[in-house]
Amino acid sequence: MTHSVWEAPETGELPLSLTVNGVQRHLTLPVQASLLDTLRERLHLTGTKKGCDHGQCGACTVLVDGQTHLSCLTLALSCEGREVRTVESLAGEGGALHPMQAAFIEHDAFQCGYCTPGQLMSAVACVETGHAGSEGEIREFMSGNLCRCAAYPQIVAAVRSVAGGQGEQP
Amino acid sequence: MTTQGSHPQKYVGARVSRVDGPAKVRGEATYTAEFEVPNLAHAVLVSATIAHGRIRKIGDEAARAVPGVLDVLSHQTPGLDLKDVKGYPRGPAGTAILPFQNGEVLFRGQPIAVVVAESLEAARHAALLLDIEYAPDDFRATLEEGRRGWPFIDKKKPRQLQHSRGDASRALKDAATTFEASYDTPVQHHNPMEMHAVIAAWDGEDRLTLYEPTQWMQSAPGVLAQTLGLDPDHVHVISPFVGGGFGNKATTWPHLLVTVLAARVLGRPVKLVLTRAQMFAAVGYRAATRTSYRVGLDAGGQLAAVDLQAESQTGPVDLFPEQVGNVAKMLYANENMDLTHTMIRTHAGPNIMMRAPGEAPGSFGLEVLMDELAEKAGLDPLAFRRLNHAPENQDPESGLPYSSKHLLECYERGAAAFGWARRTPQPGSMRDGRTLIGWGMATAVYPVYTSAATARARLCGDGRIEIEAGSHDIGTGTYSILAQIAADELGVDIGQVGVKLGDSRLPKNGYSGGSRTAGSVGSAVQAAASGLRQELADLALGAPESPLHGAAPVDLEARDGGLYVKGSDRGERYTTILKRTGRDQYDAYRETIPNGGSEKDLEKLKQGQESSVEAVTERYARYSFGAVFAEVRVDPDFLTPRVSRLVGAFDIGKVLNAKTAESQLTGGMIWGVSAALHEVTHTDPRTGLILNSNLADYHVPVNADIGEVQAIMLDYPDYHVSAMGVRGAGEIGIVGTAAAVANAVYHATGKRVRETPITLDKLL
Ligand code: FES
Ligand code: FES
Repeated sequence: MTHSVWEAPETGELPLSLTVNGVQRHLTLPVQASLLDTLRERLHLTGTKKGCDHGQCGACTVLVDGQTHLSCLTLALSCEGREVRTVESLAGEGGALHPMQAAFIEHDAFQCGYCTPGQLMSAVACVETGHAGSEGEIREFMSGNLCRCAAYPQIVAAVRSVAGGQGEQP
Repeated sequence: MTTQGSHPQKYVGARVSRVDGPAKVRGEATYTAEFEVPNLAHAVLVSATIAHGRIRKIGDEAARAVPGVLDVLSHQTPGLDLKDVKGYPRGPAGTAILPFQNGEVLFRGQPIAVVVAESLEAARHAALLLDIEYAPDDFRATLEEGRRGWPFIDKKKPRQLQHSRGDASRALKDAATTFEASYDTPVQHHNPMEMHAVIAAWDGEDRLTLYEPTQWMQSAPGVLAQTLGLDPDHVHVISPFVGGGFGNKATTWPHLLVTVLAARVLGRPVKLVLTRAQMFAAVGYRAATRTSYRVGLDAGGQLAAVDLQAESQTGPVDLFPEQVGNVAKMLYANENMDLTHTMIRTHAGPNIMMRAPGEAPGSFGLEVLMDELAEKAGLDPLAFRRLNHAPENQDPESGLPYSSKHLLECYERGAAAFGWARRTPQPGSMRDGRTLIGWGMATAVYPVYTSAATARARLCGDGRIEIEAGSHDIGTGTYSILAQIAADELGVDIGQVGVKLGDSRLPKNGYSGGSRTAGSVGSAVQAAASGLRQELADLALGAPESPLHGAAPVDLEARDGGLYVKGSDRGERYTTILKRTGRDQYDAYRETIPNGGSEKDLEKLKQGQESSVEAVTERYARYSFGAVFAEVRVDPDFLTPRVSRLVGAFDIGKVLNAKTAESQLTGGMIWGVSAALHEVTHTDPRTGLILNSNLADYHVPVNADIGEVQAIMLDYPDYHVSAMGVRGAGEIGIVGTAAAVANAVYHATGKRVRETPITLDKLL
């Protein structure tokens, strides 16, 4: 029994310029490099996590031009000229925690912390895009991010506390 | 040594936010794969694609031709010999099958080769190009297949586990009513969000630094001592953050040895991260089980006899029993019991503990059975459990008194918070509009395991306190509770306490499993911190220049970062005491032996061996208890059960941190929901292939699957466990919850499903 030998894909390298957390970056990358591996292995921005590498867990969620993206399914080279934001950029001046980060701590919205950067990026987007009107809406919006420690009720409480102003809808 | 008076508790028991929280939300907590090591090469593991047989040949020419590829290793590579490992859990199950020792394949997904390259992309690409020829053999990939018998070599036949008391067969004959049923639970995979990873860096021929996410610092050094003859003290394991473990990071797996070998061959540091699919093959699983009951009730509805035939799957060469019969042995009053637990070999790789091993699947069978029996006896499920409650002074299995048992109060408080009294007994009788509502409940129980423990407390020159323990925080809140304990013992602000964990050079501790860390390591930290306080007090009392000179030790209290005579300003700061000694820091190291343990346990621990004090000692049966209540809502047309509400009340001893303990309990309860409705590993019996080895097809709950979850904690310290009275919170939440949900599904639909997960097809 033999398993088939795959055709070798192109393994050439190409240049890439993008902005990561406000810093202009110029890189030369294998064409198949994902944005996630580029962040973690080449830029040493390891806040963004790899939980599956297949777009199934949400741990690698980042913002590309303000929109949530799964960085494991994003080819790095497709980010030419774009602006990427990761969890490392959430804290403000002098390292002050973003309200969502503070709320995650206050409500114990994580245990092992591995899904947390992805949860935070989605949670920030949940509130910013106006999807935090009710617990049900938050649960729905946040369902692309797995948490094996199952901090789900605590995550909902954290997002709600930040969304506060968005008001309660049935 | 001086003894002292009070040290008020400010942090212990309170709702304290995780001290490692800021690092985690900033993305600054460094997990294994994230350590920056110079000159790092990247490895990709290659897994077998047959379930049993032999590798004829691994062709690696195409792989080696990929630019950046450094090497390909397999059993064909000379010089990779490893010696066998003995003793569990440092050895088997994880090292039951050592990598690259011969061309034998014993399960699909077994690591058979590794490709190392300059970049991850190159290694991944080259791994696809290996040309592997197999000579496949017959195999048994599942529990069901294993029942057909094991016609293969078996060097160590699994033993049967047995328990017998009274005369069960006679009592069954005499019983007023009898009932028979079987319950099945499937293979499940731990799937912590962080995948297994290793960075191995050699320093010369005989010293090694290892980064790996582990629930046991001492596992890899012990395994490497046996396999490669290294001095375990020369293996430095670094693991400050672990992205979830749930049992599968408590042993050493073959990929660690592969990484170590690759780093040795290449003469440079190597990093290997498993893929999610490999997390389903090479790092253990919860074995499938079946529990078959024959039960007799007397005329009053009390258990008269229980006959339990249990089966659990195990791997092709290892012997880890999923102890599915344990809960049935002790949870209810019953004088007549026969239990036989048989292990069945499969070509599925070694199985291993997964959150509440034994108790989680065992309680599914037992607690659904209790629901069925209650109905037969014409009693409310809660009333039926109360009727069969085992009294506080007699554990049915050992005959010993319980160390501390408040199960009846769990029933009461859980039922009240849930509103159980409003339940109508008839299945299908509760509705919200057209939606069927079901209410079910179950009892939870978990044994109290403890270990000897060691810790160091240090006063630094700037007044900060450092706590050192070679233990682990796998999301369980260890950093936080140890900081709380130390802050209280020393009367300092919690912000002044730094806790160091996850380093094999720190004082040795046991593995973090079986809910033992809080109680065991907590006790050692308490001893070290109070020891530090007492030694500093001795120094102050004995120094003529100290304002405390001549004071009575019992009058002292620790507060405001120093020692003071109670109710007065007479005293001084620790830093002043330290300065007087002329030293720049002051350490106190302590070792603790838990109640029921011995010096021998401590000695074993210090040698890096497993050292566990069992739940039942000579004098007491020590268990945590709980009661779980579940509400499901079922669409009458689509038959999709959703858990809208869960209430659990738990008797887990002293609660150290109400916030983190509650999260562990609710997390565990959600694992129970997952077991009830979602989680199952599907293995194709014809190929041994796991059909859903990814997080889209292996279902675990997402946020929208989970409704309200409430965990009530009784907070009665159990001083027969330790001076702190802690019993641990990590596992008990999952126990019973799957059954509570299953019983609720029955109550909603009238359909009794005796197998998890309860998916749509089983309700049609
Ligand atoms: S790592 Fe990208 S979705 Fe899981
Ligand atoms: S906190 Fe552990 S996976 Fe979410």
